[in-house]
Amino acid sequence: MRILIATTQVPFVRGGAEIHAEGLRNALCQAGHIAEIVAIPFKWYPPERIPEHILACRLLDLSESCGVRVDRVIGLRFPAYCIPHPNKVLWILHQYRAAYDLWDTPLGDLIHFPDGRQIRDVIHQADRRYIAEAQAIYANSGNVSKRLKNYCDIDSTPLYHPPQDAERFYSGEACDSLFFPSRINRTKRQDLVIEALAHTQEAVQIQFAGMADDASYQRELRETAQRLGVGARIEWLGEISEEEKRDRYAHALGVLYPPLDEDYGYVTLEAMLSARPVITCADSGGPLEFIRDGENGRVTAPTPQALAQAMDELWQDRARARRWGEAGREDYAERRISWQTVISTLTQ
Amino acid sequence: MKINWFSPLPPARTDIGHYTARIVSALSRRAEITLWACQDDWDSSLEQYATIRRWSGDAWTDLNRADLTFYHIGNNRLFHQAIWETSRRHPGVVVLHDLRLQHLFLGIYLDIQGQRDAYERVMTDYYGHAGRRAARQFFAGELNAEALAERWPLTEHALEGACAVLVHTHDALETLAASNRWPVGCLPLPYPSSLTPPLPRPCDPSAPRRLIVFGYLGANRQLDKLLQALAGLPERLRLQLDIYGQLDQPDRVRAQIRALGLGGIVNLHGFVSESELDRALDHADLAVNLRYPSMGEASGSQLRIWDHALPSLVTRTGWYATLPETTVAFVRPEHEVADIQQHLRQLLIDPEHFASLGCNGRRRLQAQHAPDQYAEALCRFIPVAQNHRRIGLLDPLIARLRHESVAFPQPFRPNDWRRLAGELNTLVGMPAPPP
Repeated sequence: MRILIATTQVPFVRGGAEIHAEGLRNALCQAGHIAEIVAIPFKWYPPERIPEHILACRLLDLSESCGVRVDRVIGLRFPAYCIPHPNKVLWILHQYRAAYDLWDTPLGDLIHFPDGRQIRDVIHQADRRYIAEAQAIYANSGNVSKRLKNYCDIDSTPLYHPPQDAERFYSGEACDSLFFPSRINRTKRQDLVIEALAHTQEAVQIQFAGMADDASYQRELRETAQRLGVGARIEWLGEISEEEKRDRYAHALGVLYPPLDEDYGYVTLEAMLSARPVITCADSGGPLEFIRDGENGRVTAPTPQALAQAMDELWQDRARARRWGEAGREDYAERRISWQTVISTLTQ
Repeated sequence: MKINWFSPLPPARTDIGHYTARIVSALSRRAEITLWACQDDWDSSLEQYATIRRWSGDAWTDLNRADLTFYHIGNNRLFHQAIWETSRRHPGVVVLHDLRLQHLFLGIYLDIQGQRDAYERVMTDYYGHAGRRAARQFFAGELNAEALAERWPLTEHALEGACAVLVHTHDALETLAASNRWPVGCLPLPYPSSLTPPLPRPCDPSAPRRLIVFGYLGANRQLDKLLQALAGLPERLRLQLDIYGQLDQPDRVRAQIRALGLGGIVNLHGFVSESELDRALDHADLAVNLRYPSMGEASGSQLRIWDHALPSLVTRTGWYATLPETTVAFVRPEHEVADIQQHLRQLLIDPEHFASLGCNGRRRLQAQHAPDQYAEALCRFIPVAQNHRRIGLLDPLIARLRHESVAFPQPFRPNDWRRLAGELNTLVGMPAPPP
């Protein structure tokens, strides 16, 4: 099949969504399809740009290219998934969250604009209308699927995929450090982890890896760490290579991943592939589809105290940490998460 | 259900403030209300029904937390400029208390800002060359504000940010519905009738009959015609006229009273407390509640007159013209002096007939203008307005497309427009145009 993957790209920003689209393209090609990514540049501010972007997507014609039919469009992100095609299948990474679950939260920006409600209405209308055009609707995770149902009354099926280079993760001897690999971003809640660190009884140490989306947040984190007297127990690794990341996973005592209502979360899966236990929070979204409290990690209340207690427990009982990590790896294997499953589902 | 409500509030000297005070109790039983005040002080008794907050001009987050925002627009710039400006940025339901809003915009563009150019541009945008010519005629003193309002009402300028419109007259409903731009609802203006009927009026045949005029007394209230009518009436000494409220041109009115020799029978009271005005209405024999030209909306003053079972003279125009003959006595536009004189003679001869008009008016008030009915209907209108909120985005999108279309060597073909129109309509939730 000739397949186009319709996604959205914020110029100069690269993250999980870009890796996801590339992983899908590569898997489609390996399965014998001809696949390419069509990335729509997206700018969401001022909010008046958003309806224009939706309209721009609607005016695109991906039904054929150079006179040859495009057999299928797979839409991933808003508003690219609004592009029309007679044989459109959606695999939704997430909707425009500021119009939904993040609307009246510190992480939502749309609510602060005079016409925020009006723009939100249009986004809701576009989602209800254009998502429903698809022949089949899959969601990146159960969490995304649940939001689609809750907010738009759209049924979808969760379809999991493996993280990039899943087969190259491995496990090694655990060292004296917890690992938190993620973009430095308020939704990932590195601040919560630093506050928790100040509540630990043990000499817990943490390695943060990842680029900062927002320099001011990074500054705040460092200042908070100094103020709470835990700066010396934190290592800021910045952006690291994939190889180094796998090595850090392999030798971490455990992995911290307490984001706020994450869509899916590669970190959880990468930790499981590395046989590391994961500490996450009860409101973290995607990770909760994989982490079972006391079996392959900890699910705590999203408070510094609760998180600190879980970190201390892991620190104190290394054997249990190892058992949970192994259990996580076995869970991952049992789920049979693979690109083959994804491709056969999306091309059926 | 959470509602934002932008309105003047008592003690602001406008009946629209009183209107809000009349409705807020009934509304609060159906929704959580935030009253946004564009004024520094307000009647604290309203706080038992609603949260009251001073509008700072930028609390958009708080506005967005409500399900819908209502804006009350009338002709007084002092009360309505900030409300109108907010409505342009945060779409909501505009409740029109006047259909012709030329006075509001004359105030906004000319009174303070002196923006003749901006005013002329607005008139041109809405009415083309004819509008620009009218603006220039106004600047040159060849047209007055009333004449402008009659022909160039600028209603749509007041509705630029509206996702839906509420009015209180069928005329206004028909006028706005014809443009097919917004959902328009028409509700009878609310007024809570007092539970106990007013006491019978004193009927000492030797005492003069008391006439009353009250409210904001601008040029369209026809006060000069009333004074002329009184002056020309031989029986005038059997009448007394009490004038309450704010005069638009007090010096001119006083001069006219002196010139017509009416000092002995006309009393100017200025603004008085609500209770004092109520007492005056209880003791009056006839209210004179003329409007010409009408600004096109219903009159809270008329409802108040009826609540006192007080007969009234009204101009046969706009909403007033739709009132039954059994509830008011009509004065024809352009025949005010003769008609007023005829009614006043009739009042002296047959006061019982006039008293029956007042009683019928009170019955009509009780049957059609209950605040609970109004609040119920207004809440039913909310989902209609919410569904239409997206449509406000059509204009900027079309403007953007029009702007971009200059790059095309040829105009769009009809089929291109059809596709665009279809996509635009779908995006904002309107039916697609027919093929």
